[in-house]
Amino acid sequence: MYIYDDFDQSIVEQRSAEFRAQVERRLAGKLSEAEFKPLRLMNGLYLQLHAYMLRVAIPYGVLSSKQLIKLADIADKYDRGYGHFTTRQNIQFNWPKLVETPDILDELASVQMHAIQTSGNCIRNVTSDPLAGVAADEDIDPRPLCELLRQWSTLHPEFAYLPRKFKFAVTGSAVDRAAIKVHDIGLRVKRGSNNEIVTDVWVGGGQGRTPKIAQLFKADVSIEELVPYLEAIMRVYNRYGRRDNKYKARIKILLAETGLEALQQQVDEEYKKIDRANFKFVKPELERISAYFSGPDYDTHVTDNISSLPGDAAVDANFAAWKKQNVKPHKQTGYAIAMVSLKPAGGIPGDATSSQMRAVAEIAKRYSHDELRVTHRQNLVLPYVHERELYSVWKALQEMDLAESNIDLPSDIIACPGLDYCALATARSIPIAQTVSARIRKLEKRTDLSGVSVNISGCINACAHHHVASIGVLGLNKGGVENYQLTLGGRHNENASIGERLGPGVSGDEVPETIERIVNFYVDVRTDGESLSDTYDRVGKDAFKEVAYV
Amino acid sequence: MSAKQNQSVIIANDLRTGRSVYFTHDARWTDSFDKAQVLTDGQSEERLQAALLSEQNNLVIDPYLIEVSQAKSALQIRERIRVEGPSILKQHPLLTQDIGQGSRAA
Repeated sequence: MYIYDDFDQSIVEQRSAEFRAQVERRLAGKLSEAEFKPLRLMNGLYLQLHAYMLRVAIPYGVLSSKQLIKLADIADKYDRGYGHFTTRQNIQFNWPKLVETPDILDELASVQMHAIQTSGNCIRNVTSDPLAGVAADEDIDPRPLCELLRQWSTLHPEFAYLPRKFKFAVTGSAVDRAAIKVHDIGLRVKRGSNNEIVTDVWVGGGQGRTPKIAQLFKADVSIEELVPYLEAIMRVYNRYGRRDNKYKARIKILLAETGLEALQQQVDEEYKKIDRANFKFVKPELERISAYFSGPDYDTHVTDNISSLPGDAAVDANFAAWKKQNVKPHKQTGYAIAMVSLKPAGGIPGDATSSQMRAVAEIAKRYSHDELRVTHRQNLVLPYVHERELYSVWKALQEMDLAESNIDLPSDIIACPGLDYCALATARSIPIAQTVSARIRKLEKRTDLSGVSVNISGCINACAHHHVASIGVLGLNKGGVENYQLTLGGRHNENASIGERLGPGVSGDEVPETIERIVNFYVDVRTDGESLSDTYDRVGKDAFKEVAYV
Repeated sequence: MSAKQNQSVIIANDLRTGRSVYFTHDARWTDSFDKAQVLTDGQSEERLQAALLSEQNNLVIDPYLIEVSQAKSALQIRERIRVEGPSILKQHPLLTQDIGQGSRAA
């Protein structure tokens, strides 16, 4: 993984020192809350319902064991012994004190981490395929480009005050595990016709109150052209993006109001004005960065890995279930990708205790070349596990209640913190997720439900990506009472689609049963290989509506 | 017999910790909801002005009135969660009793 150079390190250390001085001025009354709020938000510090919340960036979801241990230490020393992994591959601490936040930032800086640009109207943490660099189906490893974009966008003076927040996602596989089509800019890195690296640039996707699927803005952009081209898009958005109405300020609205062709033309004109000499650094810098992602020294000598597993592994049905559901194919023969579910049935999606964090970090240290990933589905990944070690990994995970075999099943629910923590939320999402996952986990054990996903957001901002789940749940407040709208037919992959509202909202108590009826109906009528969203498209809304509302 | 008056409590976030705090009858801030002053319609605006002075003095952030029942329970779910702590408190292994309702007993 990428290691900071002196310049990177000085940025995070200087920012931490700067924030310490700002906090001192705030506590001394030299800054009002109105003056301080944008400064704390620039450092990822929100004020939520019960306390401050610190959002720490995990660039493109890549994390070392040492960093995860530091996060566990921070959870114990400054918080309440746990953290919450988010859909931007970040981690949030829910209970830090303002007076201790500068110390937390210093601790983060000591392991090359920070909270810069995890809030505010700037380019946020660049997200990516959590299986980047190891997936068997990958064309190009997107991590070097992600790191280049991280460096380019960090404290970029032109883009510190955009009309609204701005989110990038990058994938190097045809199978999209980074949800690039619901981001402001989604990048698909691939091989061009001459085997050179090129990028398709998708623009204008997003969720929130006006969900949109991104449009292909420019195909096959060369790696030399990419950063100046992105800069041209950002400049046009910065200039013309609406600042009069925060609900219409994202680039998806600019694209809808301007039209694809007209916006492409504006970007092309801007691109022509950009002095390309300023971007000569891109290629050598990308080469320098790429060296950090060459991968570990794989053990290529073992050819028969399965028989090298201990004898009890072969007869352990629970291990077999975990291996089937949570282990993904690796590009390197003899290796596997082990997914660590943070979604125990009835648990809180994305939460991990400090003990669990330390345990996973130690497992990564021993079995996965010291590296982990965070997924946008709020799980963790051990990217470099030798097949012969899978049983040992599973046993170690099991000891820490981290071996739920439900990756990509409906109980692998994405849920935001909702009204239990979030100042913007209109309804709770965690208790709904807990009840739904406990109930649907029983169904999963009886039948294959890999074609179903459930995402639960506690407000229209859609942090839990409910629009792109096959079953989306949106919590609202209707006359002072929590009310949950269901959407069906969403997809978060390369065939991304926005779910359609099924009908009137239901109470929180009714959500689990309603979902169960929908799932049972899908199981009854699906054809081979059909996902719930495919079935929904085929049989239509009315058929599902009839079973959902009884 | 006259109709019952609306009742309210002033809530804010403590500047240093961010924790929910409540305005008392002697113009202090407490993390104990039990010790919060219950205000009637006639008092609320004047007391809120007093509470806002604390914001100017950098003790708290964003003081505002929340409606409470005759039994001194927050009426809106959002405010009830603010007062009592996350509704998942009892099931969460790490959220201890000093959050929310636990502070009422303190």
